[in-house]
Amino acid sequence: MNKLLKIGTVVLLFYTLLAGLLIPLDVGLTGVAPTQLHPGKQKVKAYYYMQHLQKNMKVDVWAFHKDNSILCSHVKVLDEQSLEFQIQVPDVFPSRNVGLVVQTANNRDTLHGALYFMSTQVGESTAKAEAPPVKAKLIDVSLSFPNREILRESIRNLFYHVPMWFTLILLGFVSMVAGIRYLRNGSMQMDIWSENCARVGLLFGVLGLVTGSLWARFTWGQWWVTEDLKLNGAAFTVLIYLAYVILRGSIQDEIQRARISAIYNIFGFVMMMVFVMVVPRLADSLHPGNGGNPAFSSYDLDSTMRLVFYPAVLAWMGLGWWIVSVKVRMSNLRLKLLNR
Amino acid sequence: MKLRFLFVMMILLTSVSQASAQSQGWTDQLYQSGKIYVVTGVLFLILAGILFYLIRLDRKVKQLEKEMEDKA
Repeated sequence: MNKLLKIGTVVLLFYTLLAGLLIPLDVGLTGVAPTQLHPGKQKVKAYYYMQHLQKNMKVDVWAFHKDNSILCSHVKVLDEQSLEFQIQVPDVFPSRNVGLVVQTANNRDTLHGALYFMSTQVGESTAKAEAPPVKAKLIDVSLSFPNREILRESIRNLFYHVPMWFTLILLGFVSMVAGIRYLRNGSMQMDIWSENCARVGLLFGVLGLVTGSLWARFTWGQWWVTEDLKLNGAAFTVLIYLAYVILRGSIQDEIQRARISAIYNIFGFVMMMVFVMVVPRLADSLHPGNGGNPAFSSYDLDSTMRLVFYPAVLAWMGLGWWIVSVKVRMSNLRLKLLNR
Repeated sequence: MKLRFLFVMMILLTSVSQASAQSQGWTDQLYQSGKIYVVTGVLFLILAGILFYLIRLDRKVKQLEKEMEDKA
């Protein structure tokens, strides 16, 4: 059984790394130049990521804000990843922040807030000539990850950052259960499991924090977003388990140590659930699925993402479990040595 | 041993920070490249963390083995 778990972990970890890194990203618009436009006719270039445009391809470009849109003319494909078009910037438009929709033969892509109309007056639009671009989703059969604005390739971090927290929650839960079982029957074995689960959980918590911080820097623009409840809750969670380790170190008597830390552990796990799962929902968070009361489906995970995400969660959990089991064996050896 | 490790880490960190200060806008490069290096960074951090843990575990096992030998 144990062997199966290890083999499974190795296989799943390889799968997570390979599939998570090798499956390509969807086609996506990445930017335009120039972004700030004055009223009148303007030439603008748009840049793609992972696109293969062809010279004779039919491409339609709209600039839009809600239901108002401007059809752009003279669309010219420059190379595989870029195109040029002409836009008639109106004197009056409902918004100065304008998005862009580019429709090619194989893909329709939106870039919100791509353009800024410098001296256009904000008001009722006179340019409603073209039908606004509909949000029709073309059927996607290719094996690729969604190319989201801001995230881009870093969407792959879902397979490496998020499972860290899942593993922490699993190990925290096992640690609590072991603690409760210790309180019921006083078996030192349960105390050993409880301690090692918490310690390894702490490792995964710290990894979750540092990886999350790096990811945040290049998507949200800051190493740490202080007003985000989920981030602070996560940091608090790590502190809870750090305090657990310190608490254990500060008590000399074996039985007292096991008892007090088991009780603390129960509170610790409950606090973790409160601070990671409950509190962030009370306010808006930058994390998906927070703010309001989301059902699980609202995580709107893409089906290709699911294909890698669930095995990734199992893989990292398996790795955590593996480390715990090695540490437990070690603790048992030490216990044997002490009793000899 | 520990001191030497810290020393090496400090040199490494300062050299990295100097290199990044010289090439202005290393963040811009990260943005332009589709942000794949963020994934590289995350994987590096995870690997580094687990390796660090493994090394500590290794040391503890070694100590345990030594104690075993002393007792035997």
